[in-house]
Amino acid sequence: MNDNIYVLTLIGTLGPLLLAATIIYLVIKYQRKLLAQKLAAQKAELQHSESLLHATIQSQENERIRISRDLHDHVGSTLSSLRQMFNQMNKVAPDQPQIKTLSDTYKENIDNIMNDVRDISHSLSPPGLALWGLQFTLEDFCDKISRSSDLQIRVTDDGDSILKQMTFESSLSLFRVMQELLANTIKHAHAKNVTISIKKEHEDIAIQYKDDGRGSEISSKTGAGMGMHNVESRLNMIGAQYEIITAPGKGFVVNITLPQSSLSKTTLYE
Amino acid sequence: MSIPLEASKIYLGILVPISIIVPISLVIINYKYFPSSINPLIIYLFSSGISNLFTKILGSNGINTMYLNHIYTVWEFFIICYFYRELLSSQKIKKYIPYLSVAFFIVCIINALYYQPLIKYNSYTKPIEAVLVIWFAITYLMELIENLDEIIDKNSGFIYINSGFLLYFSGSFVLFTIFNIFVNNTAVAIAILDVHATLLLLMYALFTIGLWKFKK
Repeated sequence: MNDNIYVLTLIGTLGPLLLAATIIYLVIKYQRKLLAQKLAAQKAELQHSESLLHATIQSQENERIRISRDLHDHVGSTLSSLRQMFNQMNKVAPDQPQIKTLSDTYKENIDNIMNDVRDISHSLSPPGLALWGLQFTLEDFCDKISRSSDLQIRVTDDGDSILKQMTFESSLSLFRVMQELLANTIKHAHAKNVTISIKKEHEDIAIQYKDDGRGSEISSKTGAGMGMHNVESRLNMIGAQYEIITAPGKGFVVNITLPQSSLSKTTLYE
Repeated sequence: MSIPLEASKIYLGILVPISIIVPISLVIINYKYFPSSINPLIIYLFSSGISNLFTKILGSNGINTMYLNHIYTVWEFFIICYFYRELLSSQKIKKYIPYLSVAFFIVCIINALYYQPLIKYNSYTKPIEAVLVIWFAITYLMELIENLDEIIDKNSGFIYINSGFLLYFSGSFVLFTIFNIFVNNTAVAIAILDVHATLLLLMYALFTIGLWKFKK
């Protein structure tokens, strides 16, 4: 009799206990599953947004290249022909000084327009990038800025010319990043010196951008402006990591690490 | 099949009642890490500790502790109601919890006056309390499924505490119901108390883990 009571008591206890434990287990398992699904959906959404942003940047670059090419090939050659016509005019009427003066003035204006068109074309798509690589284009660009402002820019490459191995995609993205950082320095930093150093660290490429300006409160990727978001997007596109080190009065430093694997990526631009 | 009497005395009279010191110590040491919604549980632990102490003192002096059990049942349910009122998100349920605790108090009074006097074990109200607490605990688990923003890891402390209540009251339900039937059969009564004490130990262990999780 007693044995049966013990067994019954045990069953009466263990039954509901196991039932409760099963409920807890199932609820937690189900919630984890739902949570994993939600996270996967969020991740997919984020990836979709990123790929949209990348596609926008790529189409923007393609469009820049096309406009730059059109300006150079069509507008540039039309202006050259026009200038040639004024040369011919001088030859046709060499004894008429008024026509010569007028044609010289027109030629001067055409030259100015051609220079402007070339500058616009180059700013849209740096022509040296595909031919001579990032370092040359960057130095050329920095020279131009140094000549037209008080900012002294120094570019050092200790990376055993590793930049020459870089794909056009990576080169263009890094060039745009440097353009954005320099624009920020000129607009906000009141800096006198900028150093861009390129080094090879193990298998990676380390690029440091440093100015001696007034710095800012932004020390992380969060809270950055639109320009820095573009920087982040472009660096993400080529698989680069970056960190910002800055504080008021302490200048502005961006350390970029580009894995060597990104050098072999195929170009996405036309 | 049952634990030897001497061992059972130590287990029921010393080990299990004293084990509440573990979660209470954790409360004292880590108090600053706890959210305010844990306060009802802290009151519950201290109440249980004091109740264990009084039961031990009165029992040692040969005084019937059943009336203490009647009072403690009401107080315990009040505190558990307060705990779930803080924990549950459903405004509808929160609104009815105070009415439920008052209704339970009235049922306990009626039970003590007309059915199970203070000197007898309250085997009618204890299972009612158990059913209500099981309902609260399952409601909390259902809310966890519905509300995915409440990430499990963030609330794992409360999940352990809730599991403690659910497992203890589910396991004890039958024991509460049958205790009076076997109260005169010492061997069976002690066996029931042993199983109950084990469930209590399990609940305290889960409370301890839950409280520990808040610090992490």
